[in-house]
Amino acid sequence: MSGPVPTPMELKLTIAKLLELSYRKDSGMTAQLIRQVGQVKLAVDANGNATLSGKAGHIAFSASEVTRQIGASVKAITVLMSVDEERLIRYNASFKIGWASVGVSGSIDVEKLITSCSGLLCQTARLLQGRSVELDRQLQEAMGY
Amino acid sequence: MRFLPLLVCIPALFLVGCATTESLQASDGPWRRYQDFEAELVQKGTSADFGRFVSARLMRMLDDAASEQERAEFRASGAFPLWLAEERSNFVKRLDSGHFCLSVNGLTQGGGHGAVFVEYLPEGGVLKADAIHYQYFDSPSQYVTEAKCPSEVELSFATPE
Repeated sequence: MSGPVPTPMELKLTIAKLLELSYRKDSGMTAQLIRQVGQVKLAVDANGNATLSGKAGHIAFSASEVTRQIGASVKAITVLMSVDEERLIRYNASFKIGWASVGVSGSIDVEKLITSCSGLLCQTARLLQGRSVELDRQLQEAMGY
Repeated sequence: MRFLPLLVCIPALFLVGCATTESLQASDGPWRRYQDFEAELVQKGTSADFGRFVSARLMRMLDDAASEQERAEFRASGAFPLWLAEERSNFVKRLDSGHFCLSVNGLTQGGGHGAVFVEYLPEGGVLKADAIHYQYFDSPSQYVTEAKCPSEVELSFATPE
């Protein structure tokens, strides 16, 4: 966390990283969830327990490594996503941080984020331990920057 | 002079509603409290007296914090008048509970658009912030045109099982 309240880019990058973690836990189900037209919910509680859930199913994973990066006082995250026919995810997110909450909305290009093993999520899953600046840049691009 | 209270009350309605029970004047209203807190933060920085501007409930969270770093993060998250570099418009509404909600549109420190939503409650004869929400916008077309409370804007959060 570089400033008092995370920037929109920091929040959006966190959402992308949470999707990476979900992909690493269950690539098949994550791909199915974020490709299927409809509502998908990503939720992280105060203990860093995360779930990605939608019509196709449900994945549980630990998000504490990602929430630690954005700040110790991140208490919870909720992201409501809506996947449309053009494979664009529109989302509205709220982060509970310290005394306050912070909200951001945006869209994710699903094909840029996840297509095959040349997709960013798959590359990231492999490189998560030694992640590169280039990878963060590509993720930002998929998140609309 | 039996109409005097009415005459005082009607102009006040346009500003912050009619606060008869708490005897709050418009000059002590949410927008004024926001500006006073901003002046305190600008003047005193990290040693600002948060207890004058945020509720006892929030101050208890600060007291219970596990580390100095966590206390610093609480204060940083609660320094809401500094989040906007330029305030463009503000709206206030009074709830039946006697609380007030303030919404302020403007330019964030990062240069983007956003709004800060604050719920105030009367405590010790003054209004104190009890809930805070920051919302980033893509453009000024998303600015709010009426007061909303933080609870009306933020998504609900999961609680640990």
